[in-house]
Amino acid sequence: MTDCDVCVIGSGAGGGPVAFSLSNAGYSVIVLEKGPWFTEKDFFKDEIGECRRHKFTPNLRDEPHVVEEQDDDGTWSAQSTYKSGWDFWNGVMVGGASNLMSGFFLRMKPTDFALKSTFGPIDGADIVDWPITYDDLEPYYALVEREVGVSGRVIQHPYQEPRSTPDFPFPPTAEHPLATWIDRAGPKIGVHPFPLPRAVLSRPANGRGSCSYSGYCGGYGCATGAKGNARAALLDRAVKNGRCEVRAECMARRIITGPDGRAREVEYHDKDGKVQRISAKIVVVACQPIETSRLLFLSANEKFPNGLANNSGNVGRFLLFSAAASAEGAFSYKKFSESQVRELQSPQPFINRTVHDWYTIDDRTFGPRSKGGSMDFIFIHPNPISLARFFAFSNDRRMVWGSRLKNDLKHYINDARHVIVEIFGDWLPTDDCRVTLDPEVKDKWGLPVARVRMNSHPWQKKVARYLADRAAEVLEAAGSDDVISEGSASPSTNLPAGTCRFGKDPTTSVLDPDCRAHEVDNLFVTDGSFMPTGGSVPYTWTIYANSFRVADKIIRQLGGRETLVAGA
Amino acid sequence: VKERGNKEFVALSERERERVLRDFEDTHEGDLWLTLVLGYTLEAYVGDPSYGGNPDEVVWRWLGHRPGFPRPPKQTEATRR
Repeated sequence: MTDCDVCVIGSGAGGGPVAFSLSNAGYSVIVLEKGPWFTEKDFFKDEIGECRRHKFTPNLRDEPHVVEEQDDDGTWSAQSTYKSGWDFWNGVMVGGASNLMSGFFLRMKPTDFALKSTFGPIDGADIVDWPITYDDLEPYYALVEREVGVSGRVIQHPYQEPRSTPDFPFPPTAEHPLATWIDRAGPKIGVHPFPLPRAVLSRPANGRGSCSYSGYCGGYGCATGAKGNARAALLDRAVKNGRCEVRAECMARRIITGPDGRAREVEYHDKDGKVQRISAKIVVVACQPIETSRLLFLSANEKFPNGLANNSGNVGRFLLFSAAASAEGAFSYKKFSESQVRELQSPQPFINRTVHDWYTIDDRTFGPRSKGGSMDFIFIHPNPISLARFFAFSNDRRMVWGSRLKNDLKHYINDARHVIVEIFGDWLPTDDCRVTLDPEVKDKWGLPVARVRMNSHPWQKKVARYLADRAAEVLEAAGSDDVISEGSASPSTNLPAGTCRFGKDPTTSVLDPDCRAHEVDNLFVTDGSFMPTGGSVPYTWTIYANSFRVADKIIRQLGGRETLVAGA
Repeated sequence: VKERGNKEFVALSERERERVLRDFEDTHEGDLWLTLVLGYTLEAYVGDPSYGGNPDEVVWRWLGHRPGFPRPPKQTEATRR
């Protein structure tokens, strides 16, 4: 007898669907989560408490990472994030970082599953096709729309990926009037803006409330349960069915294998720091890519001297982020009529538009036909302390204070609406972007911390620059001025993926196409680690969908009936 | 540092205060100290009134800033982290 059928390590978008599906199918599940268990009652729109005081992330003194970067002359140097302040943690709590997302939900497109065969190789990047296709994942994207709750509206446009259902199960959230301005700008420059789906409920469902349109969505916990985080959408329901137990503030320290080389027990520190063990038939790792790799490394033993399931040496390789770029513009009130200004000042927090005209770049001035990216439109985050800090500290030479700071802030907030186009592009997999264990730095439990080697491929910078310029054109066509565009090379630390890529060949991948470790047949990885390439959209919907898909494989391995088959 | 010409900082004219602070900003420790103090000042200035600054949302009203909800409960010594 084991303590449970399935032990899931990590409770975010990767762990939630497994706990939900397996417990619904009648199996016992124990979820270990390092962070605390907040509920809706614990979340406030409190910039000091929630954004500036590490309420949702560990203190970097206790739990740093080490980041290794290359200088201009080619030498690598490493620094602890406790020293640099460069925080790689996201949401460390029950439900994980999905508590803090803005909920821009986009499916990957069919070409994202076959980047190499569609666009060919790129020198210095290890691009591969996925071992599954869009059609394998489509039913699970649809399942996420229902179970996690995705609101939106399907319209005719040239970039719609195939859908098994005609429309979203929830109508779109209320849109800011600027959405119409962007819609009108589209035809002027030949682009096709369309409604952005969102993992935010537009009406109550499954015991969760509807969106309250308070704003302060991204970076904050949701006080109504409308945001489709893994806790509100899945774990709360799984716990109610009586077969799923969530152990918060429990930090997994290693996975123990038996003489047969199969996963047998998970060893963890409980709330009081005591070492405990859980035995399980199946172990699922979903700690987010950097920490998932770290746990496999920490689980090294005689059979797996380089880390669990890592005799091939592939764990930790090809860490991905999203290749970010942006454009920012002001809609200055002095340029517009009174009624237009009233529209701009409307309180709806969501613009809900996305542009995919450059998802594939087909432009001779750029070069060969290439993978591009997606864009969405957001108002600049209304956090007043961040804005004030921006004006105080972003001058190169001098801090800004006193009446000049007050004037800058007042002018910025009262004379215009400021809109950012966020751009998501493919972060190319390279050997210089990977996770290992740091040989020296340890966390508060005495365990070696993850060391992140970080580099970005020059090609993705070229793509980012191109997309940023196109985004600026869209903003200008919609009526914005003072547009600044930027193709950033720095990683989006809130969107990590890769490090345990899935594939058919056990010599070049960690996981098989079912996200089962090639080398350990009762060990699965269901966070974003499985992705060999990331697509040009935020990863969350794909992580949810894949985790539901893998949950069905686990149910089959345990001898049960898959949810999609049973529910069909 | 806070005194020049044997005068308390608060007794200086605005121009003189600015000069004292800018001179201090040019030193390494002054830069660090001012960054910290200005950062905390801004938190008190435009942060939630429950922390004791921005009384009756006076700064938010002057600024035309719309806060979100739910708002945090009043902070006490016990709830302060």
